Amino acid sequence: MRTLRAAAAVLCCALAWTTLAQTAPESLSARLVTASKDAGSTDARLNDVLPLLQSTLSFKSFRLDGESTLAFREGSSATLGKGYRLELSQVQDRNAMVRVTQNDRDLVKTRLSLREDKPVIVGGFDDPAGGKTIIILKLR
Amino acid sequence: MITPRDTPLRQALRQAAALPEPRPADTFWQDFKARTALTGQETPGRLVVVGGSLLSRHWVLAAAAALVVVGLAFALLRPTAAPLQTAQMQTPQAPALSSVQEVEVLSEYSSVMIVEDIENGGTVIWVASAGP
Repeated sequence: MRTLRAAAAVLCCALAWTTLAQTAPESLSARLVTASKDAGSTDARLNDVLPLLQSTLSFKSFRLDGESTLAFREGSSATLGKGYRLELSQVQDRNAMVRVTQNDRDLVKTRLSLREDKPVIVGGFDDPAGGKTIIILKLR
Repeated sequence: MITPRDTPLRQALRQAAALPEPRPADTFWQDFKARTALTGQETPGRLVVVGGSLLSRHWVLAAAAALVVVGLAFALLRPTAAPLQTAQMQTPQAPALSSVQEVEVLSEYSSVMIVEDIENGGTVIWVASAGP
């Protein structure tokens, strides 16, 4: 009987810990990058997504212009620089509607189903100084 | 006849120091029990309890059972990070990428592309601008 009680107590603790670990609030990393066809160095903080950038986009260099981390929950927002801003809505589990604006002007709204460490790149916006602006989203 | 056990030396020794009379069994055991009662004896229960209550057999068994259950839960629920590749598999399975369920472009654009790069584990939404 004592063994059963002890087993139940330990099991409850383990399951509670597992549940909390799975439902722990996650965060969304957002990076603002300017891609250019001119040769140049690429920021080391983009190393984790560099193979993806180089294989899918025909640019030679990538410059990190801003970085922010949002809590992955309803209403979270972040300002990235150059007037770009992100807002999250309709957050459910790992799904969310992401709204990208620049200087209060809507650019894109997209509903994403995110997975940890599987980035989503939203981009193609013209940069006045040349090149294209892209936003890298990564759930952590 | 002299047997090997009945040597003259043995006989001489017995005459010099006769063996005491053996005690009756009842007297012996009564005395034995009286002596053992004077000394504290280890009980089986005290021998089993080693290391206090936290390391008792109950808790060790319970922790082992919980570890097995949690391990099984993790093994069953954990998403696979990469597609399983075996010699029998001919068609590659799509890895668990982030996916795009809906896109609405609110600025001027000429085209929108969604690219899933399975090899590098990423998804791209590319909005081509309407300008030259």
